[in-house]
Amino acid sequence: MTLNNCNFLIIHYSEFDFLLNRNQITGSVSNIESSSLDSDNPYINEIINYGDKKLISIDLDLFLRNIFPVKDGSAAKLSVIADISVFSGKNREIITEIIKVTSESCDRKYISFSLSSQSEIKKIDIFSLKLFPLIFRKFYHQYGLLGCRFSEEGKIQYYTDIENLFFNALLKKERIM
Amino acid sequence: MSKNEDTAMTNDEILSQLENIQSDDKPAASEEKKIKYILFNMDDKLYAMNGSFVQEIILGYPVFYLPFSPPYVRGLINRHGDPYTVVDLKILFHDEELKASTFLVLRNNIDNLAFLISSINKIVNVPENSIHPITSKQDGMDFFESSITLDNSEVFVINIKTVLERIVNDIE
Repeated sequence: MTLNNCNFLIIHYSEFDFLLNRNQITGSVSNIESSSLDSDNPYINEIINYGDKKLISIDLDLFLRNIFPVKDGSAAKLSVIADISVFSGKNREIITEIIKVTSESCDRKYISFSLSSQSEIKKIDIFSLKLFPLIFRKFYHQYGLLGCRFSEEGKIQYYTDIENLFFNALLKKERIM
Repeated sequence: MSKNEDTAMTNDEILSQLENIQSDDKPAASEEKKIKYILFNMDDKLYAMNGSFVQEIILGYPVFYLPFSPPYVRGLINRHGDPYTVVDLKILFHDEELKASTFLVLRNNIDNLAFLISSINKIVNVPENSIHPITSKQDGMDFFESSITLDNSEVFVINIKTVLERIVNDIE
C-alpha cells in the first residue's frame, strides 16, 4: 500500500515555511528548562533537560535565520528531540563524538533542535512536494534541502532533511557562493 | 440523412487535403533553411536564443530565495506548482546583477530552468548562411554558440550546453 499523506512538522516564518518529516523526530517540548553551554560552535549553545536526561541543543532557528532572509522575530522556542540512531552511520559517529567532547554529562542517544515556536504538525500529501530542478537536485540535497511546495497564499515551503540541515549547522557550512 | 454534395467529404479526401496543407508548409527543396531565434535584451545588450529551446516567456513572478547557490542562481519561481530555477546570465557573463522580472522559460526536456532577461526584442527566422560559428577562444565566449547578423549588427546566440556545463561544474 502506498501512503499519500505523511505527518510533517511545519515551521512558519513570515516569508516562508520549513517542512520536516515527523518521522525524523521523536518528540517536541516547549518552555523547557535549559542552561547555556560554552562551545566553539555558535549553534551549540544550550543544554536542555528532557525528563531525566540532559540533551545538547542545536539552534536550528539561528541557523535558518542566518541562511535565509528571515525578518520576523520569535522569542519563544520549541525543542524537537531526535533519536541519533536515525542518522546515517558516519554522521551518527560524528555527533556522538561531538557530544562526548562538548559535555560529558549529556545523553548520547538523543539530541535536541531548537526551532521557532510558530510550528505545527500537519498531514501533507507527499505528491504536493516538488523536487528541485534535476541539475541542482543533488547539490541542494547535501545541504538538507530536498524540495519544496508552494502554499495557496503564495509562500514557498522548503522540504528539508533535518540530518543534513543539522550537519550544516554543526559544521558551520554557511556557504553562500 | 441525405448527403450534402457541397460539404460531405470522405476521410480519404480530408486526409489528402490535410497532407496537401502540410506539404505546402514545407519549404521548397531550393528554398534556404531558416532557424527561429528569440531575440532578447539584458539591459541594453541584445542576445539570441534558438527558439526550439524556449517554452514560454513570463513576467512579474516573485523569485524565492535559495541558499548555498552560485551567485547567478537568483532563486526559484513557481510555474503551475513546479519550481523553476532562475539563472541570471548577466552575472554569469559580466558579474553584475540584472534588475528585471521577465523570464525566458526553457523547455522542460532540458530542465526546469528560466533565464532572467530585461525584455523580449523580437522573434526572427534567420537564414542558415547568416549564422556564423564562434571561433574566438576569448574568455567568456564559450557561452555563445554562434552569432547572427541582423540589421548590420552582430548578435550572439546563447550556448545552452556550455551554460549548463558551467552550472554543473560550479555545484559539483
